[in-house]
Amino acid sequence: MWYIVFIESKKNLLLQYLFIPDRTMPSKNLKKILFVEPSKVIQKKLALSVANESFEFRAVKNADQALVEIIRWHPDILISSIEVGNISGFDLCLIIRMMPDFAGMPIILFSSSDPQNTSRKAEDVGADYYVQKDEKGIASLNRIITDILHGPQASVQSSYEKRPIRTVLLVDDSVTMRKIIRNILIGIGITRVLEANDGMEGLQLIKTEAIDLVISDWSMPRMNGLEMIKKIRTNSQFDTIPIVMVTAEVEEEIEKAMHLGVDDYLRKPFNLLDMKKMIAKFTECATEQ
Amino acid sequence: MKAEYLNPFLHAAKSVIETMAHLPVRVKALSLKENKTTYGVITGIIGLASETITGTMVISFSEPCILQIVANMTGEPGKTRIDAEVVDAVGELTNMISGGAKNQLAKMKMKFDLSLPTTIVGKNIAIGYRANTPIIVIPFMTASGEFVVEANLALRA
Repeated sequence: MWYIVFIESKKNLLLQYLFIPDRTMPSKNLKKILFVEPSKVIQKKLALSVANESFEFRAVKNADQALVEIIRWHPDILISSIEVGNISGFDLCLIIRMMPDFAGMPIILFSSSDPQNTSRKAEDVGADYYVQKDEKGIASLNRIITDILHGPQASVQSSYEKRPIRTVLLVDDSVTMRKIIRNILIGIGITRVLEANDGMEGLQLIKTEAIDLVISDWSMPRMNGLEMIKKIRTNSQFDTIPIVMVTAEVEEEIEKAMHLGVDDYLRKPFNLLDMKKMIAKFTECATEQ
Repeated sequence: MKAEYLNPFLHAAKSVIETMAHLPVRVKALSLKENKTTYGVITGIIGLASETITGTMVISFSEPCILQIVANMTGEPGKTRIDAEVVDAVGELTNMISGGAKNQLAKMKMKFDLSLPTTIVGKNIAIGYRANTPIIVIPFMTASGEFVVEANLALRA
């Protein structure tokens, strides 16, 4: 929705009109779509491809501008190229998935890179769809947007009701490791981090607190991580809580643990980005419950 | 001793310190240890055994080095002395390094059992190395000082 502003000059009544987007009265009916794409030509192609009277578009060149628009304009769908300057489309996607108000926003990533690797990575960072940056891919956007808006499981309304991770239970006997992980969690906006020194303490907290994600070590005194996870999974009340194992165990052993109710794992040593990616995966998962 | 047993520990040590503490690490020339006491102010020890090999891996840190590593890992201001948290961190680092090495060795179809790490605080403290088995010292240099990995491995009789 737009409105016209008249500017009055003292010398003569000069009528100018400037189009200023109305931020105070967001349109109720139009669905807002934000494009992130550095090339004007492709921006135009995208707009033409999805042009529809019930959509409203904006296009920005890079991820920085996209974040500003997301916060100010609240788009319903984000369509981003992966190659968009310093912050890539992947990183943009990860960042959005960690923003409590926007974590459920449907995101479509597109790229001209090798589809096999890129689509896998797009999925890893929490994108809902991945399309190739070619005529066929761009042409498929219309159908994807319709799926997002009217599909049985993916209406925009329900996506926004998704709840991001608020409380994480951290189970590790090492004070240092708990501190490292807690600082990463706080850094990405998860402020409620409950800590347990072993599986017994972990189980106790699961029973008394509303936990959205469990991050657990394997090797611990009294009750190790695997025993704790087996106990959590036998209780139907808790069997949907996502559990991530963070361990220095060999991969072969961890794979076995995956059959016992571990949703994913992170091998030690890990860096900040590894942990962020892991959390981003489960922000989606947790919110689907 | 075959390098194939040693290399996984070197790679793991370098990777753990560089990943967890964001501290670039440079490997220096190997030597044989002449005494049987701890090199640094804090030392982690892990026993390991396979069907053919048995022995001990040791990782020992100079004070400035471990204090910097712990500060970088936790993202908190550096400590001025070794305390319970530093001891905990060395246990965790030793665990990660031996886990990393075990993972590499498993990929080479060599299965090792590892003991839980033990941490010793203090310099020049005697370690029960195996008799008549060379102790190979691999020094690592960081911008904040040195740490060493020592391997005392023997073929099973």
